[in-house]
Amino acid sequence: MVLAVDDLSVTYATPAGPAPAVRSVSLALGRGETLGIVGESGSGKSTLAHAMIGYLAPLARRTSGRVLFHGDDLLAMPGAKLAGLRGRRIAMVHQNPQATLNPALKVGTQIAEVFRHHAGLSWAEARARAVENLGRVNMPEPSAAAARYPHELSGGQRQRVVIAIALALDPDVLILDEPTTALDVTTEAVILDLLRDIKRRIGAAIVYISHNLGVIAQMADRVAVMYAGEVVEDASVESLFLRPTHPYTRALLDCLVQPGASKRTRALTAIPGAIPRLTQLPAGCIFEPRCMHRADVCLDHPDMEDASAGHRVRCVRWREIPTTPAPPAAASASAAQSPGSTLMEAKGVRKSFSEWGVAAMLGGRRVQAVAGVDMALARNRVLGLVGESGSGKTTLLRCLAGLETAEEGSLAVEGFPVPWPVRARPQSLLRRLQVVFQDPESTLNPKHTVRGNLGRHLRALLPAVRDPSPLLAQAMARVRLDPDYLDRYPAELSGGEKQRVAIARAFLGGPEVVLCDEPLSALDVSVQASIVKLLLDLQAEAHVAYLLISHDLAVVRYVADEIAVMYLGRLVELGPAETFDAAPLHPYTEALLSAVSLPIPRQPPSRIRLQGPIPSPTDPPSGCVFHTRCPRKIGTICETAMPPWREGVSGRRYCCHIEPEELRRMQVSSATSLAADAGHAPPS
Amino acid sequence: MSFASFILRRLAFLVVTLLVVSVLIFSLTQVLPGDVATMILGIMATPEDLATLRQQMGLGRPAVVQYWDWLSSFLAGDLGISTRFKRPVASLLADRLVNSAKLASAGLLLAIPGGLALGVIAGLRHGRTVDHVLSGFTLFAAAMPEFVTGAILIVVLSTWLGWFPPFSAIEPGMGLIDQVHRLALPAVSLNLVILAYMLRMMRASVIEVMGSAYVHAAVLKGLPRRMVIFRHVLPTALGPTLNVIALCIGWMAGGLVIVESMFGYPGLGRLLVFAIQNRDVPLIQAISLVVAGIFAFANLFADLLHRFLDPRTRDA
Amino acid sequence: MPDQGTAAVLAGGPPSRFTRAYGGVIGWLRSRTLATRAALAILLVYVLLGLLGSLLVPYSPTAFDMMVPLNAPSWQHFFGTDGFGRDVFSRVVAGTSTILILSVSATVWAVGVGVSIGLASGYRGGRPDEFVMRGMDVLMALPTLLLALLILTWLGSSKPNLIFAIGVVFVPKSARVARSAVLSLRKLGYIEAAKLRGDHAGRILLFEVLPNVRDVVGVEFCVRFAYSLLLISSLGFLGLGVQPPEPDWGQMISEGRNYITLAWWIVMFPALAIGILVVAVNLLADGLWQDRTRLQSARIL
Repeated sequence: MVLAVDDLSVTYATPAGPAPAVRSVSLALGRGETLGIVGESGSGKSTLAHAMIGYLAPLARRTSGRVLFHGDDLLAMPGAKLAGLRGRRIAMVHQNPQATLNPALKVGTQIAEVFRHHAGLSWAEARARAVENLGRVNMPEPSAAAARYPHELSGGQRQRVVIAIALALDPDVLILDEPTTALDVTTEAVILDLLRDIKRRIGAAIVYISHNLGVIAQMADRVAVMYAGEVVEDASVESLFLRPTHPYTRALLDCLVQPGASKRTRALTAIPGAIPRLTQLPAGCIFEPRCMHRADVCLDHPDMEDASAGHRVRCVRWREIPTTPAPPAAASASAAQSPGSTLMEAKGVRKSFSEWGVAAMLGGRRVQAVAGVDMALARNRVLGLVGESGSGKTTLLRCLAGLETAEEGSLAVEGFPVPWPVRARPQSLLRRLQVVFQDPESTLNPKHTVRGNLGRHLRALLPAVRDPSPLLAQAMARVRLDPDYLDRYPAELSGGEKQRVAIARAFLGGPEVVLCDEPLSALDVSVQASIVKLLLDLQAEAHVAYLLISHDLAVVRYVADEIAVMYLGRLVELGPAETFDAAPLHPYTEALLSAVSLPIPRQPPSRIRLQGPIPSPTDPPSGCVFHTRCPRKIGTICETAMPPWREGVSGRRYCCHIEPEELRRMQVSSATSLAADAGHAPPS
Repeated sequence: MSFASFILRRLAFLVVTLLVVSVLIFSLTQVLPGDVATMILGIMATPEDLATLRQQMGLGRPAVVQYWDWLSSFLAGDLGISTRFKRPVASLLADRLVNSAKLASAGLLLAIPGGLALGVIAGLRHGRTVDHVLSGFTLFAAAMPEFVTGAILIVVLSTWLGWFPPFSAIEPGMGLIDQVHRLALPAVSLNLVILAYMLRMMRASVIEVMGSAYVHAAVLKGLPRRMVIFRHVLPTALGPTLNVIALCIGWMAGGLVIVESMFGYPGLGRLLVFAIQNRDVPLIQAISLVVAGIFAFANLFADLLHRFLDPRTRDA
Repeated sequence: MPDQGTAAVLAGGPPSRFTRAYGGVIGWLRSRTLATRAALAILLVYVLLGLLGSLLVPYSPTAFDMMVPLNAPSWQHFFGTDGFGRDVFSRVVAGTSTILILSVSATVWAVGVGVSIGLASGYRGGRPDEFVMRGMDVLMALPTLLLALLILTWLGSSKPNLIFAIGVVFVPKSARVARSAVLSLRKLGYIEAAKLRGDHAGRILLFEVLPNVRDVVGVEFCVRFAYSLLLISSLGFLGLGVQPPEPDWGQMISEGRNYITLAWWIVMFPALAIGILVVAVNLLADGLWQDRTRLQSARIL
């Protein structure tokens, strides 16, 4: 064993009393093995990861157990000895590469430091080794990159630098703490390829921490599932994903959108309730309050039991719970609704931002955020809008909402023209068009109660209402919240509850179009499922149209009836959601789809990857804007001519120079070669 | 944007600022209540004399023309004639400027580096005894007006103990030791605030950087504390503090007025008070514009230094 | 951050009612640090002296008594007498209300106007904001004391002018503080939601922005109050503040300066009066700021 965690408990001192963030965790890790630790926020995985490099936060204290590195307890080691191990034999990669690199030092220097200090090389030698190491993490032009500052690199490149620092001296243990969470999906895919490659090349024991079950399924050999500070299940990756045994693990997997699933075929099952506060943990099984299989015996705290060889689970009832997966719940009610008339139609919407002030005088440029978009939303339908960050999808939504003024184009709701900006819109229009925002932490005014937040909205939208109380109670019931939440402050609500209140606010005036700007991205998986469910139920009740922005194609694929794909301010593909599995796809859509990590162990990675970051919209590429990163580029025509819209399959349209037949041939053949690599039969 | 175009932009802004400030100074002083001519000649002057003087000074012309004359001769190096001293303002200013610079330089050379160093110590020992002592000291030192510090220093060290002279007039030809002896009390009263302020800012900056993710990462890289502090903490923590230096120079301009009056020290500040008391318009205008110019250049210098030290702003 | 998950770890689940705001004055006081409470106690003493000063003083603060010039502190004259035989204690006490009223009014108007400009300008953004803030930069291009001196030279010295001058000098600073506070709020969900229900800018600033910058404005008020005290007494010292015969601490120090080798008490007591008051106000500003961050972190934990 390289690294062993033995009955470790870590407690934080907080004003509300001791908070035991990690309790009786035992894990072991051998050479060449990758241990995945998966858990939602508040599960204690980050505290555990830091303990594995011998670090406890100032307010944290070890209350039991040891962390053994080759038999030595890291948490009892003298500081100098520990510092000698860190960065040399145990290395860590953090979540946010932007924050982990010192902004004032060249990245080459930050890598060289490790060689200089731990290996005692001269600065010149250390710098040479730094460049060599950047090559190891496939950094383009390593010697030029070494001379750059962090802010001059893209997010993906920064994370390569952080990984190069960690790999510098071939550590025995590599701890990766959410290494791709802060990155865009396409960049995440590229970094995951790199990590997979590194895993093959070096013999280090790897601890991979993530909230994303898909990523864990791709990266880990063993998986430990954490919940509220405890490991509830610990098994090989195949065993865990094929025979999930703990009710929490199973519930968590049920919250995920299965590949190919849609709201038409099955409903999502969410986990009721919320993770318990660490200062008020239940005495028995920690999952008992939310468990659908709970019984009296669960009121005693369970120990880890062996369910099968190498598969441990912290549940006394695991034998009694049916092992066959629950039958898929009935399709979502909103899917049964027939599409209605067109509610909202946008034509040729354009929005650019200009630099101004002194900068504009010295040749300011315009940033073309939305470059001419047409779209239509129908009653009872969900239009999903996907694209990387920087694709202009949020700006488009803000234009439709009236929070930005479009320079060109028109917008109509039920045939009536809608002016810009929002101040110019009559009250009757405001009521019909509402927005659910991304960040639940800032969606409600923290200084007003829920009643204050909703009441002001209600009075503005429906001034004729005399007594708002019954309507507010009704609004809470609509989003499945208890009416006494009305008198709470936002700080007293969990993230999911805040998002529910925000949804209640959008529905106060009886809207017809609800624009949702990444309403799920800040939420945990189990909470996401319940919000998706709520949005679909509300649609079935109120017959609204949704525009749903998300970077998560799997969720959009599930929720939406139609999907629009956006790149650099333009739509590149548009069509019915269920057709988005079949070739031919726009090469960008293909890349987005292949970047999704499925929760299926050892899935062979796709070959389609986008290199480099999204180009700056101040200076979009000529011809087809996607040609600089396109994996299917066919020649100079892509650089010179704007591509035409083409008919794909069953009503889907895409914007590309390649003919549908040719594109299908390219995409099927690459899928074949991929499957052949993995030793599977090619799909027919 | 390149460094060069940033400098150009910043210089253009500086020129515009100074122009607007000159308009401000001109309009605040030239439209002083009371007749400038009467002020110069006294109440006993005949109406004819007054009219002649007004004519000579061009007081009857439109304000814009007056302003333009004033500014163009100012830029040509002609700062006007002091109405009170009946001497060219330029020659009056020169000596006083040197004297004030002496007093201020003591601060620039000791208070700012000292404040930075103590700030680093307090920041690195955040929450320990040293930090509490230094923070307590800044609370008092940064709050006290200069004339209060000065008054207490004179009473204790001069009246009671007799170690220093209660007035600090310096005459030409005084030895260096004597000058330092005379300058000690005013220099301390002037610079205590600066020292405390720098300490406070540097401490806050160090604490912030010490809590940053990249310093945490550097620690987990296994770098020794010394290396973390000297390579990762100090260079980054210094940046935001540099802008404060410019603020301190502005503060010092006010401090000089007070301290020089308190200690009877022949500097620019005391001259300004004298000019105001005697409504010596050309003198007031010249001193104000000179001080505004020094302040503006200090701001520019701090900006450039900050930009040079922080690669993010260097070519952002 | 060392432990990005920590705040979330500790938050876990729906927060309890423990995060509710402390109620009432007593509750508010109890949640403050010792330093803040001490500062408030000192300020209370000053306010009481200001209110009841005229009842407490044993002598007229302005009456000359040529029989007792430059008397050292004694039981008859606690703080001694000055060159004209006026009782220093009576003058120090009488000066309290003057300086308090002047600095409070100057601060109210400076912070009121400055914060309004800063909020409106920062919320509006774009070119008008740039224009306003450049104007503020120009006002700040002259050192504080110098600008105040110029304005008072122009207007002449009187109490209203003093208040006006200090306001002009501090408005840009308060505006900057308020502007940076509103900039961080501008794009938040609850502000956008207010726009989506058709609220106009004034309403949004009043109901959505102001409650969230209240703490910042409170601290800014204390900081400006401390600087106002400093500036008013400094101007008094230079002869451009409160005019004789009305007693003023700065002016007393300036007069006493001439007797400093003979009668230290004329200078020392007003100096201490200013010093203690300014330190107390700074302590309060510091305490409020620390409480803010402390309560915020308590809310997260």
